Amino acid sequence: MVDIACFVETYNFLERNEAEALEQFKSVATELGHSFEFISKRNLPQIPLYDALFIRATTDPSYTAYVASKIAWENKIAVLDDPYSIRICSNKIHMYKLLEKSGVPYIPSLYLSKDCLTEKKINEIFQQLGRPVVLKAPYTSFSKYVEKTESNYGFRKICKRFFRRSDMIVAQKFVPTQFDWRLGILDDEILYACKYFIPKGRWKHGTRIRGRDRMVWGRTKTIPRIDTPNRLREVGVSACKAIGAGLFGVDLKEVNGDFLVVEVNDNPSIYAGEEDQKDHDIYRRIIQYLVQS
Amino acid sequence: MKIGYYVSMHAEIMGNAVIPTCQDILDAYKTPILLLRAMKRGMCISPHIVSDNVKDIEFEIDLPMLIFPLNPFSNGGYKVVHSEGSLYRAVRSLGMNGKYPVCAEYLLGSLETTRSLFGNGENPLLQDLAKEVYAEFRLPVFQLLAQIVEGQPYLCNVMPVHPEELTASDLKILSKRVEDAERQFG
Repeated sequence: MVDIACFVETYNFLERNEAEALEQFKSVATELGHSFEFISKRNLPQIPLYDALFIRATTDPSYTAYVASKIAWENKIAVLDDPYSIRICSNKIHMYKLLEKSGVPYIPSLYLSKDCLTEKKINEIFQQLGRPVVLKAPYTSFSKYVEKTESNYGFRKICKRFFRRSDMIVAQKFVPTQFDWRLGILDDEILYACKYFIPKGRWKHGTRIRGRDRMVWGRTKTIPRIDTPNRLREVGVSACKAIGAGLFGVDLKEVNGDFLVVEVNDNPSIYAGEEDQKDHDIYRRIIQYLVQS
Repeated sequence: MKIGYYVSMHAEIMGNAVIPTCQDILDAYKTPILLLRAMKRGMCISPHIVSDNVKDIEFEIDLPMLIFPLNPFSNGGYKVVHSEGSLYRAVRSLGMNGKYPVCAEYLLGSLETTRSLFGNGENPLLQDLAKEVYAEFRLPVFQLLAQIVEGQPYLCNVMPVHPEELTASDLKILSKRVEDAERQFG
């Protein structure tokens, strides 16, 4: 029997679908003869008492989840997500640089420092990437700090705001599509596949409603992993291999029959009735990975 | 993230030797991770607990104690608490009203600090500890906080040194090291 701790925060239980998925993890672990306990930031000192740690709270090197992951890692406890994956996936510049090094196709990107805000430099960026461009702060999740602009004024305004968060940011070619592919990949094998649709009149899957602190999300359509195009799987797996081993959610865009990586996420969302809709074994496979690691 | 982090990142990706590494930068400034790695290396560290709960902290650690934040907006600050009331206020403010835990450490001795440049501290009491911390994390410049208990320094925390805090002689030492490295590696 393996004692598995699942590191969560209160917000993980706010959405019914996410709470159900967490309960699914627990019941599958129990069926397999393991113990599965939810722990929070209050229980960090107890992490060394477990055999494995599964992180479901939002990961970022500046969040508590990183401390939890690092405590497990330093104590040689199996952990998803491991600190290295958190560190790479949290910083988009680091992630894209590794994709580039491994020859994985990804959305054309430029990395900007504060001296890129001259009129001349901005014009060069638009010339290279086309108008509009997408600007991303490196430390983002849930589509936050990802904005689109087609004017030099807007470019400068967004960049100045993002530079408060980081000395470097990303400018990307805008590639409009009806949906983004999301591949859930565990240990270089496809776990699930989804199409994350872009809401009508918007340009990204998750968009904040103007003037409100609420997000609108496009619908999710799950595809059996066996029915996904070979090339999609190939690009998705190669993206994960460039980052590390573990559980990742790879976002890809289909362009002229080929696939470009938008980003690789550690700690991918798993909601009951969405990611698990077609391939029901995802809970079992994640638990087994943790147990065997 | 500051530009220095991206320089380390770029060097790592290119396969070049670099100090500090991205991992060491992140780990050294997260108090519980710093203490965990320091302990594994055999350094003396202050007994501590990570929690967001005042009762749990009080159960494990006696007053007075040191409280270090783990919130992403902190900038190396900490609080010394001597009473239950100040503990409650420190946990609330540094933990941003319960959103983040804090790291509480026993305060058993006198606090000492030193600024380290390549492991050389200006405080003779912390000279060896600064060398040990530098050997583990390879941070060229850092501020070290420790407490002296019965003549023995116990590591409490490591904090960044901001460029404007560097003196002319610090800059001279740094320039010399960079020049030496350039000569060595071309």
